[in-house]
Amino acid sequence: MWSRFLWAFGLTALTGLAGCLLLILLVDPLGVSPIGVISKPGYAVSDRRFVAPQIIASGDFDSFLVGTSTIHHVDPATANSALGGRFATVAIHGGTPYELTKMMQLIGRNAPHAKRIIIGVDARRWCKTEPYAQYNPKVLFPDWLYDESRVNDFQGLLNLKMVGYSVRQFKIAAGWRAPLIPATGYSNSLVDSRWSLSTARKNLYKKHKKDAAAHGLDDADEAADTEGKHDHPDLVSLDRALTALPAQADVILVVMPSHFTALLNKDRSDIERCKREIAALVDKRHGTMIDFRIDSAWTRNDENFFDENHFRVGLAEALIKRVKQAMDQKQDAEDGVYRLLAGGKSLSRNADAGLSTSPRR
Amino acid sequence: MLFQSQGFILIFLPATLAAFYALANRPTGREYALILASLIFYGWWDPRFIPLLVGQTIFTWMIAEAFLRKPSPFWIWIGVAANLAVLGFFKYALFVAGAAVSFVGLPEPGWNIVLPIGISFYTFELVSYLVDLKRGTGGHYGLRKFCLFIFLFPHLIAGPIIRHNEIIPQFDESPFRPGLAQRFGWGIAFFVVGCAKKVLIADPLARIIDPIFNIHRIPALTDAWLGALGFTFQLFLDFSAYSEMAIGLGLMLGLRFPDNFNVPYRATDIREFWRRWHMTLSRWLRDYLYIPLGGSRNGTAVYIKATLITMGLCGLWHGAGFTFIAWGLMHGVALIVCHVWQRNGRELSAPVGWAVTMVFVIVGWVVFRADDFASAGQMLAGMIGSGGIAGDTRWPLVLAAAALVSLVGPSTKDFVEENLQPRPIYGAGLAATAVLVILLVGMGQPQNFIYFQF
Repeated sequence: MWSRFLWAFGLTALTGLAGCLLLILLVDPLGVSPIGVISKPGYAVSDRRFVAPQIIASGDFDSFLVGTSTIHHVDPATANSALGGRFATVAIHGGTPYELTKMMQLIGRNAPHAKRIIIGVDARRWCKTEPYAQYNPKVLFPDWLYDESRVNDFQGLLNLKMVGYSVRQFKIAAGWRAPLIPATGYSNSLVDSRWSLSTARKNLYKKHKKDAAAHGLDDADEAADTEGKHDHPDLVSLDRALTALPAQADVILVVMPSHFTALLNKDRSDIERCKREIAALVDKRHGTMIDFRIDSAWTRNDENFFDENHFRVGLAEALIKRVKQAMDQKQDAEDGVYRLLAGGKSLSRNADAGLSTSPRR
Repeated sequence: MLFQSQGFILIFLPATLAAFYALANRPTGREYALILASLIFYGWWDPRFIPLLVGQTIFTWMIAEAFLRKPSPFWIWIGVAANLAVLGFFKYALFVAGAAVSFVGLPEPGWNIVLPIGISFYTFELVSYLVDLKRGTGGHYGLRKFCLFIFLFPHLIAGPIIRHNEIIPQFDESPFRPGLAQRFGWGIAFFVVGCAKKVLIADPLARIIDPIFNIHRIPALTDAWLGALGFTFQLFLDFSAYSEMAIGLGLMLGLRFPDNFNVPYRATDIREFWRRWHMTLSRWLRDYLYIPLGGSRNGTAVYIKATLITMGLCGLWHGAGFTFIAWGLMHGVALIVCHVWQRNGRELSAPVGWAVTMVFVIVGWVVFRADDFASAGQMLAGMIGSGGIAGDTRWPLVLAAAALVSLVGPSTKDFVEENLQPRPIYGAGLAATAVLVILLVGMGQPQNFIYFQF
């Protein structure tokens, strides 16, 4: 009797585990299996940190949008029509400098023929005077998918989540459900229909009251900003990451626009210094650097933003067109919407144009 | 390597069982195979401590050899003192130094001592063997068997605390002796049930209650009770799960370990609780501390002294901290009160006795779990409503499952040995549970067992 019990246990356990493993390897929701057989019109995993390596390795794209949630609203299709090429977005929400460095190194290794890489620079992350936290504590960063070893890609593959992803990926391939992330990596989480000016203003004027903000800087803040450290340790990683990108690729760093209330923060002149340091790195790489994080008609317009750091889709489309304009004209925007900090002539390159003391019209 | 990790279940255990049963007809070979597997298992945590484990074991065996050649208590005292000194250094040196410097008003010492995992458990096993030798009940064992007794991986890290004379004789029994399939089936059942208790109930509970114990203010009544009840069930399910996995592994190797838990939260008085909770530690303390200190048959004063010292040291064994000592002394006082109460012929009805015992045990676990007396005080204040009534945390369904398993369901021993039928459907059901557990533990780092820190 007990031997039949043991046989039943052994066969069920073996069948269950082997079945799960086979399903995971054949469907391959993380793109690591050598025997994956399912095509991917989109992805079953909602975590971009797990999807980005697959997008990069897919070979379907020759250009990439890299960065955090601030660049994520740029639709690759807009970039395709404005700049040419086949763009995908590998932006990760809340990405840390470490994670973004890993992403760029992965592009360097797995997409060596990339033509164009647009890097959205979130100044809040790269320009800290202390090293930024290595990982975002809210989400797991799968280091093993970003290193050079293929062997460790299989670690942690046998688990319930992966079984769920595999089933979902299978349904996506069969056309039974829509992907959580499309093949280009683009999906807009800040849907424009949910935007309202009153909510946006609530978000925008939390720290700085509207009236005070409209009048710009005061002397006390300026004084406070000149004290303290001005090192930007994460720029060492950025330098390493830029060096790792494919040599022939056009590298365009875009300092993403923030609402002008963000420019009122005490770290503003330090961030200006940081931008100049980044520009020097980009120059070394013969890239282009365009700064939209300045006091301008765009950043003064509440209607362009959800909150201080996240702009609306309409602005994202305009931004890509302006990137194209900057690359063509190789100089600052005539209407003051951006400055060219590297890769051309800048009228205000050495000036602190972060914020004027009176509102621009 | 944790028992419930994929590495252990899918690689280490099958490989060890394969090697063991391949050598099952060669007693020496199978013993060496288990020693090697146990050292790999132990070294997986931190290979630096293998020399300490091996050194302490061989030293104790040499002391025993010296005693058996020339039976002088001197050898036993040397052996016991050396073992306790090692335990004292690794576990209590920082605590004593910290307490001393804070007493004289100096800053805390900046050094740190890493506690070798399992040292509290295996040191007690070594000490009990030496004391048994002095009492004339210790056997004469070869080095290989003695090492295997201590190193044996299922009980090495967190017990059950096994005595030499209940395990070493089993090493000579053939694993192929009659009843192999039943032993193996029971072993699998113990192991799978333990895994399920740990992964499906204890770990999810920990994720809910840990933040409550870490808020550093008085929690609301509902949060405080959720934290206190949650930890009460978590501790039992976590530790009993480990013991059951150990017992299961032992059975797979043809070895029977002593039971460690017998539905302790059904006890109707505190003395019964200690007869059901961490039974192998309780009997160790009884036989090697409480009775030598005078026990209960030498007058009230001796009884009180023996109980308080035993329980104070029981608390200290759990951790180098004043909260642990306070927890132990609390239980010592409760045991004395219970003893006096019962000696005077007073009886509480079972439901009242159970309720009083549970409230006391829960309050005790709050002191046990809290980082310091201030945190414990805040939790206890929250439990009487000083922090308001309604808290932020919803009471999870897993708490009900924990209560059901801890209070109502059969003990794992009863489930396996009495309820489990040797029918294929039961085997398939256990296998499905095992697969679920394996898939769940693959989702992240497996959680350590609470008792590993002791």
